[in-house]
Amino acid sequence: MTLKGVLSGYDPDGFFCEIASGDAARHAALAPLVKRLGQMSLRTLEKRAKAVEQELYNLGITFTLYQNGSSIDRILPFDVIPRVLSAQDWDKIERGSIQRVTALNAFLHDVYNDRKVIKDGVVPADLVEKNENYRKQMKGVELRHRNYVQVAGVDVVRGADGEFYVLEDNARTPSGVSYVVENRQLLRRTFPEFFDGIDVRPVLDYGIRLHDALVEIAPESVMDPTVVLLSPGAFNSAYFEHVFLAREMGVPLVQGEDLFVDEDDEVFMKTTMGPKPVHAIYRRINDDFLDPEVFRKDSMLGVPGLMRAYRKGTVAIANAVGTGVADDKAIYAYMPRIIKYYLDEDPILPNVQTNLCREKEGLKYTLDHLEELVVKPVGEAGGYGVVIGPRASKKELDKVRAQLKEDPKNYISQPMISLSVCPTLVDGAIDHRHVDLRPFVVTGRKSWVLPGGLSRVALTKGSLVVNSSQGGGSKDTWVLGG
Amino acid sequence: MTMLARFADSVFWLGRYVERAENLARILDVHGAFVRDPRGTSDWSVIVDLNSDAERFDKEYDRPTASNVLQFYVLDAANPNSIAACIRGARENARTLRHVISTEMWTHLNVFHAGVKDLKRKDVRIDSLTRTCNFIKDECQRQTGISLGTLYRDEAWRFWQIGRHLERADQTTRLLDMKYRQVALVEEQPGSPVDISQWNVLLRSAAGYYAFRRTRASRMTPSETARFMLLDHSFPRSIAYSVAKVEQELRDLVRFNGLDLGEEIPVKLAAAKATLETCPADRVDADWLQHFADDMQIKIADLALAIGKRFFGYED
Repeated sequence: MTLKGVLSGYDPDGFFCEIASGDAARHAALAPLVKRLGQMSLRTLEKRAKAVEQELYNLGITFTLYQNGSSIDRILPFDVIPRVLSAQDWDKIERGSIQRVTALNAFLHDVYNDRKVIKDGVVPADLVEKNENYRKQMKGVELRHRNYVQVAGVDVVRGADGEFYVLEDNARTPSGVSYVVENRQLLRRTFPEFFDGIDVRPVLDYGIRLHDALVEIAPESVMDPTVVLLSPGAFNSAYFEHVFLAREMGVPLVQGEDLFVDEDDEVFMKTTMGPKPVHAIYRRINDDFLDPEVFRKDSMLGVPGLMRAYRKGTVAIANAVGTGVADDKAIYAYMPRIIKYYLDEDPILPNVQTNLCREKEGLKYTLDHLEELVVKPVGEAGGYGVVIGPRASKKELDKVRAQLKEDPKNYISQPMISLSVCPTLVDGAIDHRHVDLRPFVVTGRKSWVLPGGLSRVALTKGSLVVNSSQGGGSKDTWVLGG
Repeated sequence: MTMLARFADSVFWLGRYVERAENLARILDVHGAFVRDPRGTSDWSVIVDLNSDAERFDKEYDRPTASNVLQFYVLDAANPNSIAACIRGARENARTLRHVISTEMWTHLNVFHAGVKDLKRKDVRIDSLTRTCNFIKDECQRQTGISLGTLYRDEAWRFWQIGRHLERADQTTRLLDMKYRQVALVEEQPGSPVDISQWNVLLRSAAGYYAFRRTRASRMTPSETARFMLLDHSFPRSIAYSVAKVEQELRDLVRFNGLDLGEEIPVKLAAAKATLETCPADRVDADWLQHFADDMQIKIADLALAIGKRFFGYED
């Protein structure tokens, strides 16, 4: 594709570019945006980008950092150049994400009931039983539609070959969806001309879809179920997202102290008119804080007795308790086999090839090729503890080698993926930066994928780490109509 | 549609904090004007006494100089009665209520909060005090205006109105009380020319000067001014008006939102109204007014507590 004007100096440096690479059909679909971008001056782009940043502060779309007793509001940097997925790109991601969630739900139901997957030797027993996110309290609990993962975030990257690969599944409380919707609204306000005559699929109905899903999992006997969102409170760094979701769903944003469970194991919230029954809870707190009667005794964030109510079926909780057993990095490696086992299908979205260091060959391969591989601890999130072989110093490699030998079960390794790039406005110029994608799958009776998802961008040149805690930003993500 | 008790509490305090910040700005501004008058006092400790903050103030500051008192009441977020703390409190409550209130209310408060955080010592020097106080007043009024124009008229609205008017009634007693304390300090006879000019400042600070002139053209006396601010049912900053507003919103909570006031709230409301009726028809002297201000503040606090126990889940 020929890049003009402000994009004329842009060079994706051999990586797959989300704006400029792909086949003729992809180029044709992207041409109108590329043309419009090219016509814009760098000054205009920068000026409006600044205005967007100010608006983010004004709207309080911030996360709060606490340092030395004082608090600082930070924004997630927003890059104004959108990341675009063609209808064909999206079709694959959509089908692939739904397939994974379907398999995850089947796996979770099996793990907490018949355990056929273990008996049949597909997944080793200790991966399930010794998993710290396995919740024995869920054994034999029957959930509506056998649905455990109401909200899933499937992290997807695109390699130099233009193919999408799943990097990890998030089946607990994946966050970031508020940015998807807010980014779209920001971009529409500041760069309306980008959208002129381009069919970008809408994202604004996420809250309605989520609310529908929660109504669908609420106890069947309740005609008009009351849904709430349970948050740890304003000091949580994702509080903005909790507010956003409560608002978009039109439900109360409650904290543990606002709820109680009575002697009949029913959940109520405290209102100005006294107790009012609650039937479905979208919780944004982890399992271990949910109910001090069952999990952490010191939890002030949860609701004593909530598990009693949940097990009795008087209240639905999303995501279900105990989904963490299905989304860690060790189980991830088995996902292709899990999909095959339950659905008798091949994965639509492939995994990144993963070496399990718990297995002898996997460990040996990892140790032999440490300089080429990315080593990840199984239980960590947010990019913590990840060692990128080709970028690591000798000291770092020695350290991780020792850790691997000491506790091989705790690690997996993967080849380094050349993450795709997207033109990004940094330091007054447009340059390529690596991006990933987190589509959100909402499941009630059926699954639905928000068209787009969160595109995170590593703002540091050459960096592959897109996490917001480590200098990542985000982009508006477009899915073009077919 | 019922409301979470905690939200009712938050929206009540959102109303109170913004109203308190606005009134603090009014009090500081009127005192600043008084101080600039060559015949006035330069004693800033009256402000500290007015808010019963002597203990807290003395712990942090050596003397009640203009600079210290203004620092304490405008910038010092560690002082829960400062403008900085009020706006921070308002914003924290608004954050909790983010999905209950309008985006415009939140965005304005968020930007206002950033503006207050940016205030520096130079902004509270005596020569820039009026400008700073005007900034606070303007933004508080903007917040109130946005709320009037955008807040959905359900329970949230009514608790916001109740919080706001209880606070306003309380603050008006303080404004009046301060006036009398100042007069006592300059040892002038109430009613003297100096005194009249001070009452002008007071009326202006409550935005009541022209309304007062228009309705009481020939009665520009301190007693009449006091009665205006206490009892005039058409003056939106009078105590009688504020209490009537609280009464009306409580009634509407019953009528439109199906709430039940219980036993204590009507009793406490009646007590507040009865206190108001003790205002003398002739001369209002300083002793009476000071006593009245204390009494009224207690009655307002009692009513607020009764509302909190009934609807916000406060403990006894």
